[in-house]
Amino acid sequence: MSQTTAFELELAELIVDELNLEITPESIDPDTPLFGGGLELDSIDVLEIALAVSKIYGFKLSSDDADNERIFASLRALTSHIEKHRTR
Amino acid sequence: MRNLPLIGMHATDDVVAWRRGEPISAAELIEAAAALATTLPSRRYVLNLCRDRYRFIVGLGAAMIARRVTLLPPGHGDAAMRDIRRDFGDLCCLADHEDIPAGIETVRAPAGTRAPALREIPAFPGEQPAAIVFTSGSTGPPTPHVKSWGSLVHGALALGRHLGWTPTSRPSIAGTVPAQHMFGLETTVMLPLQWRGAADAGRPLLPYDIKAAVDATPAPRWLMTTPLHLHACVSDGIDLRGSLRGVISSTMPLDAGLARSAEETCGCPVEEIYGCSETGMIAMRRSASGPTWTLCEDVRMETQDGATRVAGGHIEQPFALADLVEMAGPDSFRLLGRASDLIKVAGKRASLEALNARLRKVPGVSDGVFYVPSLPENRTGRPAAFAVAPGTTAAAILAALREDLDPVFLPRPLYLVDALPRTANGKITLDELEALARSMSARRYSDELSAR
Repeated sequence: MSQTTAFELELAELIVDELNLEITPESIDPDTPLFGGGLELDSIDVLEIALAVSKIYGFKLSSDDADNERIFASLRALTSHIEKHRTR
Repeated sequence: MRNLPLIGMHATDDVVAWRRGEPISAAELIEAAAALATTLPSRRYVLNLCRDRYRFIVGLGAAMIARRVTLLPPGHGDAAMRDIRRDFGDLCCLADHEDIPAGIETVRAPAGTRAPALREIPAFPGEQPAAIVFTSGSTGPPTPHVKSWGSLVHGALALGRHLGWTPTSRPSIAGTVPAQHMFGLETTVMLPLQWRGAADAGRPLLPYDIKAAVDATPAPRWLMTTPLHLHACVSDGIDLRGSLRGVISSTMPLDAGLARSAEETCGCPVEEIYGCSETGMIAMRRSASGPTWTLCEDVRMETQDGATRVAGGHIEQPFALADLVEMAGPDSFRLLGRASDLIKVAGKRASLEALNARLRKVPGVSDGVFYVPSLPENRTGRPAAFAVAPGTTAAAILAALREDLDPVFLPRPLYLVDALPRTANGKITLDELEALARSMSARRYSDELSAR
């Protein structure tokens, strides 16, 4: 398992809490896919996470030209996207 | 009987789809479908997993041309795929992504060489089986429902007439729902194909992506979506006014309050479809204006001995509804609630009793119960569960459930408890479960605090 950064852990806590997941935030490998075979999140979860992110970090998640799958590919991908765009 | 065309009312140079602002013509669609039809493996069924809506349409057209039946998977869970492979063994898979089930011969989309140019739009007998949709497998394996080409075409024509469309309407249609779901198939595939419309090839989920997808197509524009996406658009403060001519919502109930906010956000009427995988759409209403539903064209509803059946119009087999219904007029009604213990998540149904039975069968679980936490916290309608499981762990229980259940029904959260709050006669009330859940959550947080 690769090293989890403090911000990745913060986001992992948000995901586990928002989605009522049956895992501890520490146990999410930042490189594991969030969808499909990984954490098994689905498109409804994407919406819930997007709403929480926009509330907490002050910007709207949008996939622009890339697709959602890239931003939500893993905890690490999502974290780096938020770090680039957050306003608070 | 006259054959029914793959694309109705269209000229070959009409636009049938948009992908990120790029038009795709009817001629291109026909050519791609004809080419793909020649390269499909000689299998009876085509499991169409394409996420790109245009590629899905090409796959459906190719299957029709090659007289194959398109399978629309009920979910992506391993359990669903296992059951489909068992019951529909003579199948191949068409996919435009890597997430494909193992052990099934797969055709990559786009695929196929150029076909000789077709002079005319292909047409098919109304009775030709076009697609098989599945209802959820929580009460056993997924149940297949065959849709003939005629019923899909007639349903789309009736829906367009209900929306007041004419052959000159030329609607652009974007959707947040997959083409593989019955509502998505009806509104984002059959509706544009039959009404000289154009489908957005994408599947935008987030509010800004929805706006971008809609705005990249010419007016008049329609959005086919769900209450969850509408809620996201409303809470995100996005402004869709001026972008949309109409919105249709389905898959879960749209309450009047959200419907009114959504109409403000979208600047247009928000209609709701009541229907199910077995029948397709049954009735429509403008949810902001009241609770009464109007039956779709030629659909009849009969209530006898407390059970309500729908028949007629595009509905091929009379079907008994799981909802309690009160007629409000010859073609209008109100819903009074569920006649059974069915729950619905992401457009999929499951029986609470069947979920409970499955949970109690997990090795190490001595008692257990699923329930649906109430609003406002539980917007998605996902179930949670309690288990008395001295002999196992939450992770092991979830792993066991995952083998048989669609992932949307996996409990969130699963609480492990010493005993269920049963009354003297063994019953469990929702109030007791919610109180227990609150105390468990409070305990979880105080544990976390003391651990810090």
